[in-house]
Parts: sequence; structure tokens; C-alpha cells
Amino acid sequence: MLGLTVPGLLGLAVSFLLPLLWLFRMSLNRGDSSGLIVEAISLDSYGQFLGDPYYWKMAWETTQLGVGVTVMTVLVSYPIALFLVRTESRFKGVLVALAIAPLLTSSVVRTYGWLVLLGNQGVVNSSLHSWGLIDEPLALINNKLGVYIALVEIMMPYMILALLAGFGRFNPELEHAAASLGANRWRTFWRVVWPLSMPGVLTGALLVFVLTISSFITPRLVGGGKVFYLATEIYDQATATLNWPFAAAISFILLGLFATVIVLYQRAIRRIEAQ
Amino acid sequence: MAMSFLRLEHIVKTYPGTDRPSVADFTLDVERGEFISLLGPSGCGKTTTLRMIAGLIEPTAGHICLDGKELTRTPVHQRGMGLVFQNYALFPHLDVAQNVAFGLEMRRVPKADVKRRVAEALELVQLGHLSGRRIKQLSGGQQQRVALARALVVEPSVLLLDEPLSNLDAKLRDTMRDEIRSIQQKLGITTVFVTHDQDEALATSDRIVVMSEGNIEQVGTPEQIYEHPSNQFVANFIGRVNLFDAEVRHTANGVAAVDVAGLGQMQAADDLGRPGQVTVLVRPHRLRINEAGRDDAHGTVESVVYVGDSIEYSVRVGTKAVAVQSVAGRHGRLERGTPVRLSWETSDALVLK
Repeated sequence: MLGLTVPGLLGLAVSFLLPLLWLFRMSLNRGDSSGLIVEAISLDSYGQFLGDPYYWKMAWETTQLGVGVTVMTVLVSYPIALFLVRTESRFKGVLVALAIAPLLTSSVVRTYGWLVLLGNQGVVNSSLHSWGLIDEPLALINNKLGVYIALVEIMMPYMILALLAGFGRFNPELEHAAASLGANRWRTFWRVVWPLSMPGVLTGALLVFVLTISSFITPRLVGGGKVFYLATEIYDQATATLNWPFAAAISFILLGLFATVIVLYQRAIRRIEAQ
Repeated sequence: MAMSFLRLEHIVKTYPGTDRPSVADFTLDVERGEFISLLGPSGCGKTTTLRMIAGLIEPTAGHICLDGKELTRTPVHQRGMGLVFQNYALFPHLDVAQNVAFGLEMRRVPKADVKRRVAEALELVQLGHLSGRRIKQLSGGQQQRVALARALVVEPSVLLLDEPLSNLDAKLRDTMRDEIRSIQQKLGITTVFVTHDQDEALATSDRIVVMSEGNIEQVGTPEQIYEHPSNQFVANFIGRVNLFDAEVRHTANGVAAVDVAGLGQMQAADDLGRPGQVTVLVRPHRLRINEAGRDDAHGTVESVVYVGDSIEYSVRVGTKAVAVQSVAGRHGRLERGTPVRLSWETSDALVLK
């Protein structure tokens, strides 16, 4: 059995671990203002990040984005997942497939879709305008609002998948039992359905949080270069400023954020499973 | 007659997309404190009926009344009935005590009372020592007890049991069966028990409702059901039977002289008092082998099965194989091929329509 893990581990080592080590080594170099990389063993790049309130704010806003998108994705995906689990429709399979079908399209395409919908001359603004509800177009892109809207929609299929997997073990008879013991629908939901769906919610939340704070295409395009998160900053530093050591250092700080969230997730899961 | 406690009046349930009702015109009066079983093969509508009483299924037509109050449209959580499910449906995220406390918390019972009543309920099902356990750490029998305690702790008006014993192994099943009956007697709680197992129904019930294909076949005490089945379905479903085609010659004082195909002239108890073609029922253990009787039939032992406390013979009489159960040791063990004479007491044979 153990022998079977060798090819996978080798692949991981070559394609993931080595580049990561290389990236770490890079983060210890010094970036020159001219774009030159000065070989060194120093923590200057990390210092540059941690010493600048601008980057602290960016890290904070990235975390906010991750938490905000995650919470909103749970809110909009949960009812859909619950419906899909409960429905006795013979189209259940089709409905589930439809809910996760957006995964088949690249998020670049879906992001452009949102630009078309939310732009100043987009479907939303022109409809509102033609109904006489607004005079000036609402600012729905090139700002945080647009990024949130687009990311929530892009993350929904992942969340729905995780929730469906979590609900899989849910026995509808438990709701009947709660009702027979005097619980109305509201209390049945909060005392039985919601706690039992926690593993699915947590897994989905982890997935969505990590995907959100590492996404850069959507914040970049919908944000129109006016909103800055860690992932977009890494891209800018690596391609525009050509300060590779600094880009590498931000990458490792982002990695630290991932690690923190994964530790929190595992603690929460362990607590649920200890029950 | 006093008004019944739980009354089901012409209950019908037809599921959408089906022609035949799952429950057809079901009427039943249950007295306060009565233990009543709904007995029948799977698909007979017994579970649907129970779920309509619980409020989990809405009847297509008819009325359900409890203690004189109409209940048909009352939602489940306001009915105040205790329900024990076939798969127990215990809350996996709560421990034993929290499961039992659930119904009390929904009723906003003060904390101190909850604690005391949970402890009492767990004592009642002999699980006082396991109150802090997780559900998945319990055996099937223990889960069954928790489910029972959880349903009983809220002092429900009616206890509804949906095949609660079918997931237990044979030995535990008998123990739990007797325990459920003794708890029911102790609390005097009106109980409706759904089962497909005739032994469970006979052993526990005050009255049994035998159902088939959505209809009530017979309602009666276990003795009535066993000794005087009202038709062939009930006779076949409850215990082992021999059914003989016969023709009634004449009837007098509840005794019919019958011509039994292959056996000849016999006598049987007859409440119907109707001449013509009938079926005569005789239980295997009521048949006598080689005993001096007035009427007897000649046959040959075809097979012998020794089952410890009794011996089960199959006796060939003419073209018919007759099942005979005889107490072991009464007359030794007859070998295959032995010619025997079969007879029965008149009161042990029953004419069915």
C-alpha cells in the first residue's frame, strides 16, 4: 500500500515542493528598484511588507474578502443545497447537475459575464434606467461590491457540492423525530438540521475561503485595477514591478494565512467529530 | 358506551399517481390505556396509518380525534404524541441525556425539572448509567431504549411504535417486547404498535388489527384473532394452519357435519350456519395422531422434523399434505412411512367462509 504512494509523492515533490523551496529562497533575496535581483539571505522583503501599513491594510482587506465571500456563499448556497437534498422531483439529478454546471466554464468567462451584467451600460444598469428607477448608473464594477458579487457566484458550485456531500448522511426521519417531540420547523432547523450539516458547511467554507483569497483574475478584472488584494499584488509585483523577492515574500505571507485557516478548520472538525 | 380515547374515522390515504388507496376506509376506536397492534404484511398500510395518527402523513379523507378533539389538521409538533421509529432516529450530535431532554426543552420545561425527568425516564428503561454516552457508542438494544425514553419523557397522550423491534436480534427482540409491554402497563399509556410479526402482536396487545392491502381484515383480542380468525387471510397470517376444502352437510348448535375433501366425514365448530362449500381450519398442534376419536382420517407420515420441544410431521392424507405438530415424547417419534390416523376435537376445527 505504502509503495503505491511513491509515484504521487515523487510527482508532488518535483512539481510542488521544489518550486516552493525555490520560491522561499527567492523571498530571501533583495529586490532592486531597477528590477534586478540581488542574491542575499535577508528578511528585507518580509520587513518591507510588515513595516508598511498599506500592506497590513491589504492583508486585512484580503481576509475580509475571504470571510465576507465565504459567509455570503454559505447564505445563498445553503437553501439551494437543502432543496436539492430534500426534493423528490424526478429531475433531481438534472437539478444537481445544473447547480454545479458553472464549474464547467472557466472563471475568466464567468467574470466577463459579470462585467457585461454589472457594467455602466450593463444589463442591470440599463434595465434600472429604462424603468426610471435610476438616473445615473450604479457603480457595480471597478469596486469591491462587484468583486464580492462575482466571487460569490463563482464560489457557489463549490459550496453546494460540499454541502451536498455533508447532507448525504442526513436522515430525514430525524426531522420527523424532532417534530414529534414538539419542535416547529424553525427549531428543528436550528437544533437538528444545521448542527448536522456543520461538517459540510465547514468543508465548503474552507474551500471557498482559500479559493477566494488566492483568486486574482476576478478581483483584477471586476475590480478594474482599483481594488487591491494580496493575490493581485503578487501578480503586479511579479509582472509589472519585477520585484520577484517581494512577490515571493507576499506569497509566503498568503500561505501563512492559508495555514492558519486550515488549522482552525481542523480544530473545528475535530470538535464536531468528538461529539 | 364511553367515548373512545383515540378515534380514527373512515381514514383514507391515496398517494398521488396511484389508483389503489394505501389505506382504505379505516375506522378504529382505541380505549384509553389500551395497547393495540396494527399487524400485517409489508404494504398493508399499517405504517401509513400510524404516520397519519402521528401527523407525518395527511389523510386524503377521514377524521382523527383524540379525547373528543379533532386532530386531523393539527401539525405534528402540536399533537403531543410519542413516536418511536424503526431506525430509532436518535440525534447523532447529542448524547443520551440530551436526546431524552429534547422534547422537554421544546416544551420549555425548567432546567431542574428537565434533569430530574430525564433521569427518571432513563431509569425506566434501565439506562441511568449511560446518560453521558454518545449515540454511536450504544448497541442497537440500548439505542432502542433511548428512543423509548425520549418518546415517553414528554408524557405523550399516545405512544406510537413503528416496528421498533425489527432491527434487533431474535433474543433481544423478545426481551424488549416484554419490556415495552411492562412499561406500557406501568404507565397505562395508550399505545399503537405497528408490526409484521404475529408473535409480537399476540404477546403484547390488548387488541390486534389485522390489515391487508389497506383494509382491516379483523379486529379482536389475541385469542379471538388466533382462535376465531374471521377469514382465510387472518388464519394464514396468524400462526400455522391447515386449511381443508369442505362441504357443510348440516349444522346444529354451532357444530357442522362436514365432508372434508380427502378426509371424509368430520365435525367442526361453525358460527356461520351456512350450507355449501366452506374452508375448515385446523391448527397443526390441535391435530391428534392415533387417538381414539369418533371421526378419523387415515394417512402416512411423509416427513419428520424434530425441533426440540415438539415434532413437526407432514402427513399425507389422500392428495393433501397435512401439517401436524405433536409434543415431543407423547408417543415416541414416528418414522417416515408409518401409517397413522388423524383426528381432531370438534371445537378445534373451525368453519371459515
